[in-house]
Amino acid sequence: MTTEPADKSVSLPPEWVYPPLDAAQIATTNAQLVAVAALRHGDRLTPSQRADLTAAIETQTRHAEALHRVPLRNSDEPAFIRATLGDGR
Amino acid sequence: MIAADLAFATIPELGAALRSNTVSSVELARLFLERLERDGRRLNAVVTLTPEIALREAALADAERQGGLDRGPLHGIPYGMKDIVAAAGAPTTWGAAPFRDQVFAQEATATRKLRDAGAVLVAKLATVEIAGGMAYKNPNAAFTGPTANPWDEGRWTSGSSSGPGAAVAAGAVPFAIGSDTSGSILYPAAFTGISGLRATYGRVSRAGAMTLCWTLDRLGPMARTAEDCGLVLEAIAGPDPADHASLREPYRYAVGRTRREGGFRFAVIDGCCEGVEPEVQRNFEASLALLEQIGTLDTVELPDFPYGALISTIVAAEAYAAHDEFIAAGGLASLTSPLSAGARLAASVLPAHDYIRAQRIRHRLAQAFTSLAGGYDALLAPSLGVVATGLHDDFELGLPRAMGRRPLNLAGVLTGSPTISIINGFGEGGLPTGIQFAGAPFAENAILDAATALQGMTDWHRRRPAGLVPG
Repeated sequence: MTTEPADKSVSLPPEWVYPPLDAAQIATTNAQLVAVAALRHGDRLTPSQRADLTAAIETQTRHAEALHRVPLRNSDEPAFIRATLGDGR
Repeated sequence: MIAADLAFATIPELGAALRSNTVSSVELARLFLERLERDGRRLNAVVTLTPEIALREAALADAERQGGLDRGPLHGIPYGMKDIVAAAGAPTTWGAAPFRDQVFAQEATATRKLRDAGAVLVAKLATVEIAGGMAYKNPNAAFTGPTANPWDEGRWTSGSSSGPGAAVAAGAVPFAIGSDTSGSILYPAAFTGISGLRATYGRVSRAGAMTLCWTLDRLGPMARTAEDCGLVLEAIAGPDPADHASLREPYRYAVGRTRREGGFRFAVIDGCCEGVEPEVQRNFEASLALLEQIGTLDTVELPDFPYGALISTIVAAEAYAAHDEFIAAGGLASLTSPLSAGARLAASVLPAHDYIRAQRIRHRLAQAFTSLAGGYDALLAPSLGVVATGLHDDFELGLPRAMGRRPLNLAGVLTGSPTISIINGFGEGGLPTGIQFAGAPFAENAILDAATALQGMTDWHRRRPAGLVPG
């Protein structure tokens, strides 16, 4: 059986997928993020507060990973405030 | 009508008593001020009593009524305002020690609208500090202390509209205004056994209220019945140039409208009882049996989205941004909750593209949810999976189950659609359980009518906490 050749004039984009991070990458990312946050705020943090910060960043990264698993199109726009800005009211 | 009956009366019942001269507005104001002083303060539901404002507004309402002016169903009715909303002549503390002396010269639009409707401000009511937006891990997260539940003072009201929930449930105000960013009206309404309405995003102006999250914040009524919520919403809804997210569409609840009593189309969220306490499930199923008498009942799947990740990411980014200077200057350490100082700083390294990604996913969720909700008058689920948790318990002990695995509440939060919670029975320890009715955007009247119909078939909303002193 033969098939017609595909229409060469149509160039479909590749299916880009947000690459998942493995456990080691996540741990490294979290450690770096804690270090960056501590750069600005660290001098005020007690060990307990720094532990809370670390836990919150781990949760934040986990949530970001969940968001990265939801496929989006380029045209998917954000759900910001619905009213038109600068509408003269 | 004796004082205790007045304290637990609905808004139409109080209005009838006022119009028949059974009681005056000044007498009502004094009654509720006394109950706030006695019960409200003991429960940590009160931040500031406003007797001067109350007695002045009540005397004016009495004089207007005697002169033939009727401002409508709220005329002469006392109320309490969550203390993140500004009122002239009283501090607006946001529940937080660093802001306990904060006074705004200009009152909030909601406060002004209620005064225009003749309502009488008797108190600024407790809130979890910064409306809970700086992270907290147990109920002791306000300079006023944890707010106790009138049904069991060893239990919590939930938050962040803790004071409004406790005060309404205790018969210390007929209604209150709460705020909701991710469940702060719905959860306290469920834990305290009252009715709480989160109207469509933009329905109520937030001008003069503390900002936690621009794209999520809503103000709304907390009251004894769904009907009361509708009457209050009608008074505070409407466009406002000071809040450009406010809707232009007018809202009418009582004026020129006949309430529906049947022919409803309901849908239960599939799996909404997974993991909930047995009494919560039992009461929910009993409610469904009653709702089947006034409508059809389908089962539907909630659209599959990472609800927890979405709400957490959006709240973190917006709450941090809204309080940027306070955080940068080290203000978090001055809050009551020890969790705030470290945990909220995580948002300082939250990438902008992840926040925007959450908002893009939210847009798709809104399209899917609106399509689903538009086919029904109300989507149904338990308001919370548990009854009120301990006043001193860390949340790990209660909230994971409370959030549920099928979070209809979060779908309503993220899509800006209306939801009401009403009491539907009692569970472990004689504590209230709730059922939520979620509608499509702008469809407040459908869920209010359905909830009112269920309240017409039950008397749960008529029960009073036994531990309170009569009178």
